[in-house]
Amino acid sequence: MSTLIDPYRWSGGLLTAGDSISLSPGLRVEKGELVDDATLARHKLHVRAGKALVSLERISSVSEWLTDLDSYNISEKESRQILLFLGTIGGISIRRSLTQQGEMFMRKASLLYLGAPPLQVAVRRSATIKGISSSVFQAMLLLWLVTPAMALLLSLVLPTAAIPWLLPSLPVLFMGLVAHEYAHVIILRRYHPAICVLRRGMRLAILHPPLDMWVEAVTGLVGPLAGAGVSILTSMLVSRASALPGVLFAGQAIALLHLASLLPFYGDGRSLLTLFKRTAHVTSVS
Amino acid sequence: MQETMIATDQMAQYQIKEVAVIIVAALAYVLVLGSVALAAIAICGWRGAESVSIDWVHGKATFLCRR
Repeated sequence: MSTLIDPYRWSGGLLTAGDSISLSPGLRVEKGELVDDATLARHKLHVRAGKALVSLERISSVSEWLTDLDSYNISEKESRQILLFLGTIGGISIRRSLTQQGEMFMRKASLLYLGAPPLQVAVRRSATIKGISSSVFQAMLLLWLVTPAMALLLSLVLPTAAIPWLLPSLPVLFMGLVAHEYAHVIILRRYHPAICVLRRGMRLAILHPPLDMWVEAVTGLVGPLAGAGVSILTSMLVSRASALPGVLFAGQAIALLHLASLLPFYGDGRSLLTLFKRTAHVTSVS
Repeated sequence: MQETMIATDQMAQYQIKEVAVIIVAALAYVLVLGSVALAAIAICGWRGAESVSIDWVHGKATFLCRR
C-alpha cells in the first residue's frame, strides 16, 4: 500500500490526513484478539491486523497510521476491511479541531448533495453523563441546524401560531433523551461497569452483555419513564422561562413518544420482547 | 492475495437499548404542529389562527383567527 494514498478517498470520506485517531475506549488487543469490554466479544485478528490495531492503541495521526500499515505489508483492500470493521463496532475514535469539523461537515454535505453519501460509522463513548450528553447533542446536530430554518419557513405557510414553540422544544428533547439513556446506564453499570454508548447517525444505543432477566426488565422500563418524566419537567421550566405555553404541549408529545418506545416493535419495547421470548424459551426447555 | 483481517466473534451475545432521535423528534413535531394546525383550520377556516393561547389550568385553548 502506498503511503501517498489520499486518506479521505481511502476512508470513503471518513478521515482526513490531519485527524488524530485511536482505538475507542473499551477496546483492546490481547493475545491476537480484539477484546470488546462492553459486549465481552473477542474478535480474532490476523497477525498483521493485530499489529495494525496495536499501533492504533496509541493516539496517532491518520498519515502516521497509514505509514505503519504500509510497513506491516497491509494492502489497501485489507486496510479498508479493518477500517470498515472498526467503523461498524464504533472502534475508531476520531479527534479533529473545530475548523476541521466544519470542513468535514461541508464536504459531507456536498457528497450528500451529489448523491454519494459518505461512509457512516458508529461512534463509541464511555457511558458517563458527559459521554451521553455529547452523543445526544451530536445525534441532534441536524435538528439544531435545521429547526430554526424550518420554523421560519413554516411560519410563512402554516396557518397557525404553533411555530415559535419549535425552537424551545429542542432543549426539552435533549434533556429527555439524556435522562432516558442515563437511567439505563445507572442500573446497568452496577452489574457491568464497562458498558458504552454507541451512536450511529441519529440513533443512540447502550451496549451491554446479557444480564439477569429482572435487571434487563427494570433497565428497559426505567429509561422511557425517566425520559418521559424529565421531558415534562423540562418543558414546564422552559415554558415558564420562554412564556410559550405550547412548549408544554411539545413536552407532553415528547414524553408520550418516550413511553411509546415501550411498544414491542421499537426501541426498549423490542428489547423487552426479545428478553421475554428468551426467558420463555429457557423455561420451555428446562 | 487478500486475507481475512478480522473474524467477528459469532459467539458474542450482547444487548442494546436503542432510541432513534429522528423518530422521537419528527413524531413530536408532527403531533404538536399537526394537531394545532388542524384545530386552527377547523375553528378558523383555511386561513387558520394568528395566535393560540392555552390555559392549562382550566383546560381551555383560545384561537385568535386570521382576518
